[in-house]
Amino acid sequence: MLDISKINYIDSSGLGAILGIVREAHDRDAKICVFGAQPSVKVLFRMVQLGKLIPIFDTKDQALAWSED
Amino acid sequence: MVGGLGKVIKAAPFLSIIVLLVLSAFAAIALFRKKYVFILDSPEFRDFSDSLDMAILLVSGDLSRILYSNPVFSRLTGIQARSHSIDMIVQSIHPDERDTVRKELASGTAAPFDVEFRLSVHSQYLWMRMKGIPVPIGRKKRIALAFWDITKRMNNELQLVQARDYEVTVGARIQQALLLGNPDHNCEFYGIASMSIPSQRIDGDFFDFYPGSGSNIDLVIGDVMGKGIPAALTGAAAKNAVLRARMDIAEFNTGSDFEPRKIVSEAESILSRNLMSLNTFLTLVYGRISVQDSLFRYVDCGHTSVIHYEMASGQCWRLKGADMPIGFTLKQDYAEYAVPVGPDDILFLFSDGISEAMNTEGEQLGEDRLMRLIKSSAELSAEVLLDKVKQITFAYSAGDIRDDVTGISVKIRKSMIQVEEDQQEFPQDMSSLRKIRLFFQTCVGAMESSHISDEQKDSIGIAVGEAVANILTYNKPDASMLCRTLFRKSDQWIQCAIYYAGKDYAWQRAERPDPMTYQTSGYGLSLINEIMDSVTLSLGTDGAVRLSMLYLLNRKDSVS
Repeated sequence: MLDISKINYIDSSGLGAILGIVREAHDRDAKICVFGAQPSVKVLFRMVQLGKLIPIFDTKDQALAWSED
Repeated sequence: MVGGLGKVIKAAPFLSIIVLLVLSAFAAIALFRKKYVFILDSPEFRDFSDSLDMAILLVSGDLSRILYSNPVFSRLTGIQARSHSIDMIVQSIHPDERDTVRKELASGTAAPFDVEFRLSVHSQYLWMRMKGIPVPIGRKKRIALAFWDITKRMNNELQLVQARDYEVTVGARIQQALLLGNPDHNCEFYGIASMSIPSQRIDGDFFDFYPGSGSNIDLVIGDVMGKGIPAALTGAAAKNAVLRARMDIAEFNTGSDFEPRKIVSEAESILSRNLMSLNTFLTLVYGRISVQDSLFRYVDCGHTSVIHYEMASGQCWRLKGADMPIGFTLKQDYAEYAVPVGPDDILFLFSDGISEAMNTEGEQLGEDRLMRLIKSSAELSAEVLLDKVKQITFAYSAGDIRDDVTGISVKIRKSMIQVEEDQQEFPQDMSSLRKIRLFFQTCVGAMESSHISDEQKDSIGIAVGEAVANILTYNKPDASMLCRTLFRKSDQWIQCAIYYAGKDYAWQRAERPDPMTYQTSGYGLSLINEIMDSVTLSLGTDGAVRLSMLYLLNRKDSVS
């Protein structure tokens, strides 16, 4: 679970870094999600349709619930 | 006409051989004097010289006596040689050529000569060509002359010249009547002037103006590949196609201000197939001076840049698009751009006849010189500026204009909308990345939420951040250089502009990568273009670059 709640701005380089981590996780057949995105970060995720690749949750609890499924 | 010319050209070497043979005979006479009388008196030589279509004379070196003439001479000139002196014959030559012939004859004992002149024969002038060679016979000097009628050839050439003149005249009429629109559309918001000076070779340059709603005006300037009447007629058809495209779209749309890119797309559907079958194409810029939002919207199909003198920066910028000329392919997805224009801004649209005007050293006038000229003349009216460009173009090329000199100048007089602006300077290195982003975020963040939502503000922040990162990444960091940021807002749009020194980068439309492919780069450019309504990267002079990003608050009018 990627906690990005402390990130108040992210650009395409930061997005690239997240995608790199996601790829590595998927290569290892691991589940991965992000949570706690601030509104401006959510805007970017929505624009690039990151949600197609990984789950994006508002809270840690939602992310934990998903991981325990 | 072409066939006749071909015969003349083919006949010329044959005539030269005959002339050479005849004159060589006289030279041979000079060498073998004993045979001289025999050759000239022999029936064989008489038959030979009589069979020629040229007159042959042998005259004394002082031109006082005609020693020999063949029968063709009398037939050709109507003059009995034995009763005439050379000087009397020269008197029958047209006054315009008489002195030249006299001078050639006077030096004829020293060197061969070749001259063309008109000779009065039976009260009309015939064109003659005369060749002469010195023939020293012992101590005596003689001149052998051969001349023949070239009236037919000269008339053919004259007809060709007249035909060319006729083509130029007809082409100029086509251009004035069919290719050039009426520029009389000045109003309180802008002044417009236009010109098209035809060159000797007719071009397919065209322009037109279409008044829209309010004081809006659309304008188009185009250039068809090729020269001559075919290009002019294609230009006329293209101009007509743009007009028809507007009318066709108007049938299915309300109002008259439909998007320029749709008009160009419709014109393309009318034109492209025909242009491709004719193996030609045309470049054009279709622009709109949109008064109610103070924008210049344009579509560029491979034409010369539109030069934008921007009062806010005191600089000229080249406005370019990314589309190909019409006729390259059957169908294109045209991109429309928009930049704010304010009071005292200038838009200068032109054809390559101006930028490619060449001086005596073979150097082109070029867009850089044109931009400097416009910048230094920015206080002039549209009419005076255009006249100045015309004078400079003619002076630069010493009057040797090879293409039509076509230009439209637009000077913005006043703005209908209120525009507020804020600007700041930053060192041009990576340390400014965050500061520049914060500058724009602060400017946008201060806007009232009734105009723009928080999500819109965030997305603009993303686009600006990507743009700044691109500029600072693609250009060598140099903290001694300053880049300037300009934020402008109105109730219609927001502009985020960055002025920097360096080079441009691939800023045009880009496909957004699919995250399912795990692609980790290539998102920045697509984000900028998706978020902003118009992104233009314009080159100025001396390495200056302007990145202008426009965000329309009234999204129904969005451009690509």
